[in-house]
Amino acid sequence: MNSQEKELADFLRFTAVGIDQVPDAEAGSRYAQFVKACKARTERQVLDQQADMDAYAEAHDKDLADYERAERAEASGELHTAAEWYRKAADNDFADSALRLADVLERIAARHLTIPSSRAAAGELHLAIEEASKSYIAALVAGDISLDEWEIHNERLINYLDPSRASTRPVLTIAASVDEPKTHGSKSRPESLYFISGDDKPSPHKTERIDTGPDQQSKR
Amino acid sequence: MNESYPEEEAGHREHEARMSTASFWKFFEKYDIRLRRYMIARTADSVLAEQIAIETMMYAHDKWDDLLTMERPDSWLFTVATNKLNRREAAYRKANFLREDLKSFEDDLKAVAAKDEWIETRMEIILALRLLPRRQLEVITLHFFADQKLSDIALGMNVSVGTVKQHLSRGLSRLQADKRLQTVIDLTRRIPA
Repeated sequence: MNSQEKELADFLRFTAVGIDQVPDAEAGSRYAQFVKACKARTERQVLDQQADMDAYAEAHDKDLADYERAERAEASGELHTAAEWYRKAADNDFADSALRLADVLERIAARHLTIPSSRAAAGELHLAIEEASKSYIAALVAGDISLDEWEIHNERLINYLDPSRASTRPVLTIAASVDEPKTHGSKSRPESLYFISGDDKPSPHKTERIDTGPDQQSKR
Repeated sequence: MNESYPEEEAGHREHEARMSTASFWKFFEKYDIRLRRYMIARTADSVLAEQIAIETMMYAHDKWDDLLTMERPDSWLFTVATNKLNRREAAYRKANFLREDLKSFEDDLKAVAAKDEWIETRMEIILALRLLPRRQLEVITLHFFADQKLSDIALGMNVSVGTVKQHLSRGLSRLQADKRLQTVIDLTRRIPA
């Protein structure tokens, strides 16, 4: 945290002062009203309310299970299965599943470049890129990636559709702090997509170089 | 086997129930308003926020004996409320029910501020927070308004602590760039400690 961020953090702490103080109009009556509302419920209503809250907890656990299945599938290289499970989790805005889905779909698109082209393969490539693009937007809106990062991802997706374009575009770079490794969710980013260039000497900022298209990927 | 007379057992149960009620009352006093205001800062729909805050507090009331065994019942409270809010918002967003624009945020906040002075005096700040991307908003409000540790926030969000720190840092950077908020901060600086 830099000094400006620390100052802002202090300001937010100052802002939160008095957050637990009851407004004058409700002083003394809030708990009584709460108890009255609790007691006014019939046994059936209590059970229904508890079932409703339990259902949310179960739904959350299910999203977590889907996300973990996706992670396992991704780790074993089953990208289509991983996409399927991330998609389910992303549908409920669970953790960074939209971003992980986009990453996996992009890797599926990259695979298509290495296999002989067919109409079906081209269709699948387009679908993967279209969904990856939407998922990156969802990740941007949620705050999982910054605008700069989104631009890089988007540029790369366009290059998958038009590989000849990639060779005419320069390699994009973004600054990344050494102290804060770029991670999404519980894992670091797939190495096939990101790598740190330059020497190993620690410096305040290293430049993280990111491929802008399939041209760079095929060179490695 | 622990032998005791029925009267003693009944007395013991009554005492435990009284203690449990007393401790819930303390918990309610400490977290009810905090939860409500945290939820209002979090969402564009303060009616939804208040509804979920009440439902979650009632759930805590009904499950109080289980919560007493937890190290931090407040973490449970904020996690349950946050998860429910996130899920409801995701469903509303899909159905285009949620209005997440400056005008809607302002109108909604004005309605709440009319009956809560704490909100009224912090309208600009809450407005700036509501305009943050939702992960950054979640981390900042949980940390500063709900008083949750970054490690607990990471557990609740199912992400690493590093990711939570990244959201916090990015959120603070965005707030720094907010000119209206900067004016409020400058004014606050003039208030003697």
